[in-house]
This record gives sequence, C-alpha cells and structure tokens, in this order.
Amino acid sequence: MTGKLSHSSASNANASPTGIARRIVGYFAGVVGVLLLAASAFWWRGEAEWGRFEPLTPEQAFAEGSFGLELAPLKYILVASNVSATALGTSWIRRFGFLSRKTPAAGACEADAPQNLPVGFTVSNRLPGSATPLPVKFVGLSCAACHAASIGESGPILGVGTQTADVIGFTDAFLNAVLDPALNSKIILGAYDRQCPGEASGFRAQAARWVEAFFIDRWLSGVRAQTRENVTKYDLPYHGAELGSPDNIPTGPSRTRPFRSVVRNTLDLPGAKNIAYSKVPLAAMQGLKRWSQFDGSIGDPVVRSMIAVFTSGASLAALNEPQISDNIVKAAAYTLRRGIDPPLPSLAETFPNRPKPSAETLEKGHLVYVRACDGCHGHPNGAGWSLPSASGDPPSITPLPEISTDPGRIIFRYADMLPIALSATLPAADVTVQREALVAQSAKAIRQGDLAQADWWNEAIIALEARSREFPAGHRRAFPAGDVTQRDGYQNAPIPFIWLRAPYLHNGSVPTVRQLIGLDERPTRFCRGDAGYDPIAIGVIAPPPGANGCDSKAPFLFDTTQPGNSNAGHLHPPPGTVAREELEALLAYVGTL
Amino acid sequence: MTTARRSYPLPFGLALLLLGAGVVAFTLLSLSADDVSYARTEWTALLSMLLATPAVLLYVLDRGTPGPWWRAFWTVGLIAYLLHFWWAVFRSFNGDLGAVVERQGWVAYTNFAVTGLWTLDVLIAWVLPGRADTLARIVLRSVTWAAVTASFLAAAALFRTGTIAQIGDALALALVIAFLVRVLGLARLLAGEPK
Repeated sequence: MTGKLSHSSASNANASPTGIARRIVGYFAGVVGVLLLAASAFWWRGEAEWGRFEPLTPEQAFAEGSFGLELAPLKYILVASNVSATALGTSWIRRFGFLSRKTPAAGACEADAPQNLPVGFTVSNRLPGSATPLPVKFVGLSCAACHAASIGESGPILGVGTQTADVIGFTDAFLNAVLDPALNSKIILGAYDRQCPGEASGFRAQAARWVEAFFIDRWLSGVRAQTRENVTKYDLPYHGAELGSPDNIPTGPSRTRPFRSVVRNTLDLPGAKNIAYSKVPLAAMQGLKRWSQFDGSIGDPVVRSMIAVFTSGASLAALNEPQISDNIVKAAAYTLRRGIDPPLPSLAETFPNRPKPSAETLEKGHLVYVRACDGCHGHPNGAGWSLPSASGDPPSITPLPEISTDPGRIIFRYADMLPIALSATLPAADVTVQREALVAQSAKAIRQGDLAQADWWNEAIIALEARSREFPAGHRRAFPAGDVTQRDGYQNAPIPFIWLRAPYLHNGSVPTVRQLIGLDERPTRFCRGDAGYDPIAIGVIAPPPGANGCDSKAPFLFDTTQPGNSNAGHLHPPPGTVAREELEALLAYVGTL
Repeated sequence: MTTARRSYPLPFGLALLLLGAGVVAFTLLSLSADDVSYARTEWTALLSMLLATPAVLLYVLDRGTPGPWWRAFWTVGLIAYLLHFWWAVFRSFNGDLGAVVERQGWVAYTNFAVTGLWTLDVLIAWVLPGRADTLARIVLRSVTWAAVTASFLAAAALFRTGTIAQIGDALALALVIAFLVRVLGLARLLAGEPK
C-alpha cells in the first residue's frame, strides 16, 4: 500500500470490483471532505461578518458598545419577565432599578431592540464569555447600565452614576433564572413566538431558528456549568425576598462591591468578607484629574475603564477582541470630556422651579467654599477646574485617619496584592518585567513568613507564562504595574456637578449635600431605592424606615452602623466653625457647581 | 504517480474527509473554549500533527518512492498547518510578523522555513510527480521530512506539557518503531531473506 503503484498494477486494481468500490469510496470521501471544509469556511466568513469591526464614537461606545459583558440571548431577555417570572419578577427592569429608554413606540420583538431594553443593555452577536461572534443576538451591558441616571423629569443622563440600579441583586436573580431546570430553548423560543408571532415562517427563518435553539441550549449549559463551578467561591445566589435584604446583599441600589469582584476575578480568591462597598461614581469630567477612583489608585483612564469592565465579568479573551478593546478606549475618552463636550445639565436647568438663590447668597456661599472646601477640591475656572494637585503624580491624598470616612475600601484583605496581580493578569508582549514583579512579591512574602502568599505568587508566575502563550503579541489592554497602586486614603479631587454625585461619600452613606455639610444630621438608617431626587437638599430622597421597615418605593434599608456603611468622617466645614446661615449659603453655592 | 493520482482516489479522498471532519470539529468545539482564537491556534497545530503523522511514518517505513497515501496525508497535514499558521499570525499575533520574530526569535525563522519547505514539497509532489526519484527531489523531500518531524517533536514533546506533550511522545515512539522496522527489514533484505 505504501509503495509506488505501477501503472499496470493501478489499472488492474481499479478495474476489479474492489478497485471500483475503492474509487467510489475515495471520491465520496473527498467530496464530503470538501463540503466540510466549505462549511467551515462559510462559518468563518460568517464570524467575520457577525463580529465586523465598527468604529463607534466615544458616546456610542459608552452607551451602546459591546464590552464582553454579554448576559443572555436577546430573545430570552425579551421574554424573561414571562418565562423567568419566579426568579426575576414580572417587572425586573423596574424591580432592579434599571432605566427605561422611554421609547413607548418600541415593541417587544427582536426588531425593536435595543429600544425595548433598559438603558445600557446592548445587542451584539457575541457569545457570553469569550465574545466570539455568532449568528445569534445576545444582550450585554455597556457602561451606561451603571453610569446613567434619570433625575427629575429628565431622561437618562449618560455618565452619571446610577441612583437606582441594584446590579448585584439583579445578578443573583439572573443566575437563579438561568439555573431554572425547566428553562430551555423550546420554552424561550415558544414564549417568544407567542409574543412575536410569524417571525419563524419560511425555510431560512426555520433554519436560523434551529441554529438559535442550538446556541441557546449551549449558552444555558455553559452558564449553568460556570455558575456551579463558581459556587464554592461565590456561594449560591439569593432569590426572591432574600435579594432585598441588606443582610444578604449589603450593597443595595447604586452601589457595587468592586474589590470583591477584583479579588475573585484577579486573585481567584474568595471575596465574601470584602466590605469595600462603593457607590457607582460620576463617570464624567474625568479629564480634570490625573488619577482616578475615590482613592486615586488608577493612573490611566483606559486602564480604569478596562478594570471596570474586567471586574464586571469580561474575560481576558473578550478584552483582547479588537472591537471591545476599541470600545474601552472610546468609552474612557468619553468620560474625560463628558460634562464639557457634551455638557451635562445643571441643577437649575433640571429643576427650573427650584427657588433661585440670590447673588448675595451665592457670593457668601462661595466665600465659605473657598475657606472650607477649596483647599482639597479646588474651584471652577471657566469651562475647567482649578486644582493643581489633581494633575499631580502621585495625587494629593487625605490619609484615612485624617478623613475618617469608612475604611472598608482602603483596608481589606489582599489589598496589597491587587496592583501587581492585576498588572500581571494581562500579559505584555514581553513579560520580563511582570515576571520579575511577581518573583519580587514571592520573595517579599517569604521574607514576611507568609508562605501561603509566596505560593500564590509562584502560581501566578506559571499562570502568567500560560497567558503569555495565549496572547503572544501581548494582550491589547496590558498595562504597566505603575498605572495601578495602593493608597492609604482618599483623593482630593475636583467636584464639578456635585449635584449629580449623590448619594455622598465613596460608599453613598450620606443621601444629600445638606446632610454632608452638617445642615441636617446624617441619618443613621434610611431607605434607598427609587424615591426620587431632592433639589433643595441636593441629593437622593432617602426616607427613614417606618415601623414595618422600608416601603416598596425605596425598599433597601441602609444601616450606617453596619461594616462598610459608615457615614462618619469628611466633617467639612468642621462642625461649629461655620454659622448655619453660611452653611445654607454654601449649599446654595455648591448647587451651582 | 500521475496514474496513481488519477486512478486511485481513495487515499486523498479519505485524507480530505479526515481534514474536513477535523476542521469542522475544531471550529465548533472551540466555541466552548474560553479563548476561541487561542483554542483554534492550538488545535490546528494538533490537527496538522495528527494528519501528517501517517505520512511521517510512511516516509520512514517505505523503502521506495513515497506513494499516494504519503502524498495524501502529507498534503492535508500541510493544509492544517497552514490554517494553524494563519490563526497564529493573524489572530494570536494580530498580523504582525515582526511581533512573531520578536517573540520567538530564531524559532520564528525555522517555522517560516518549515512552512515554505513543506508547501514547496507538496506542490512539487502534485505538479511534478514524474521527478520523484531525481536527486534534487529526494534531497528536498528528505530535508522537508526532517524539518517537519523535528518541528512537531520540538513543539509537542519538548516545549509543551500535558496531552500535547504525550502526543509528541507517542509520535517519537512511533518513529523509533518505524525506524526499527525499516532497519530490520533492510537487514533481512541484505541477508537474502524474503520480505
């Protein structure tokens, strides 16, 4: 068989019945092989089309871009209130505080998406997890899911931290929904067909439906497997009434646990005890400062946006996708200019019926501001802001003992490991520097007698090498270790649009500016949800709990005596140093910022 | 060999079928991977090695000019290798050949050389089958065989761990056995024993 066939032997062999059968088998196998290759080529061509690069504007990227945070097939999301009512409720958009797009003309079918989805819920053809292109539409989250707010009668304002969304509660409810053993493609597509009849008629539509059903089932099986795999680290998700209990999910509306996510995603360690609760911040006017985050710990806006996406669950493979990588760069650019171009609305514009302070009051308030606030926060300067230290490197930090606000965001287990570990998570083209940093951390841990941590760093070196093979040209969003650092306090940062930064302090423990500056007492316990905005006190309406707790409008009980929720500190102006009348003037003045 | 190609389609047909099945399999199965591009880069290399292994072994076992089975598997192995090359260069390295060289150093040049040699060898095997026994052709074929085999062994058995390394080890073992069979067969021939 292996030797060269002579002409005669080949001819004789082919003339026999066995030879003819071999020829038939040979040609048949060849044809099937070619067809399989053609089908593969057709699929790859499709992938190029489904994942075609689209250069978005910064605003488009921020609001509608894909960030590798795809959640679920579009058709499932469109019928989720129906097929997953037990887990999500019949009105999950409102229940979890997401914003409606206010496009009443939009129907409930695929063709109307994303107008029939909440703000920040986007549509792409990317598979959740790897973000690889598929012929099925999926819904994902953009920056706007968390960084948009509807205040007063205004529509959604992009770039403002959400004041209502309970992202962690939603995530647990969503995991419950997809773990529903009864849920499958047949249930989902059946519900969709009843909601949008007539879409699956014709051969092409039916063929597309088979593909869709296949990938919906694959998605369900994948997300279930991943949830089960994570359960020892993430615990079982809460459900039903448990979701609203601060004992179970202590963040509530408008807050997240970013460092719990970083600890889990980056270090692959449990973060359950992490109490670094943070409000979702204003993601505008970021160009006014060199270092971002409440603690001034991230030096590059693109790195900041990338870490935000990574901690929200995007995979390394997704972050390396050209479209997603570009979206991150564009969204970061949007945060630098948002507030200037395009501008943000002022308090007076949003609440035109609010009593207008007199010029005299504003001048008086300005003087108090200069005395009590300007040293740390600077002041407006034309279209910009005057605070020289904001562009400093390192930034100006008020140490924790001095500012005395909640320490949970600064002091937590593994805080010292994160900067180096984060940087080494995304391999550069040449990993020498990253490897050396990890080796140094291992040696340091050994010197300190922390052998377990030394072992962790040694494993991190192996993991870095493996990721370096995965991204041999370097990960697109790799960054130098110096771009992320640990601080011992909170950054003295500009505060333009202070009215859009409510609730106040990094953990959102003070609902209004009025309470922040000492005109009213800071409430120990209050209710958060969607109770509205108070333009007089400048902040969110957070009623006190009644005898039966919080009501449905603001269902989350925020208890500032709980770890991570402290409303202490930042006593500026210092109590007793400024007359009440002057504090009123200060409140009026900061409402103009 | 022209006769063999025209009248004996079974080897290439079956090899094409295996190639097509392999390509469909890695295309679809990789969708479950955490990193689809990386999975495809890895799995195309593995597919190339698996498909070319029969040809690599036949080249050792066969005392005569390599026949249609050798050419069939040598060809589909190359096609899988070119897919691997495409995925590696255009997806993993973002189309930047300079980055390939920077990352791999001299190994990159050997990879380029293997790709070029193997492509040339397969082209000649199909286009000029009548010159299979010329000295130049024998030299090219032998050098290409050695380069491809060394490349497989180094990439799998030496530089990797786990399943891929085990496959590399299996290839090395199979090669040793093939050499032994060849040498023993040659010895018997020299001793005048029947084949």
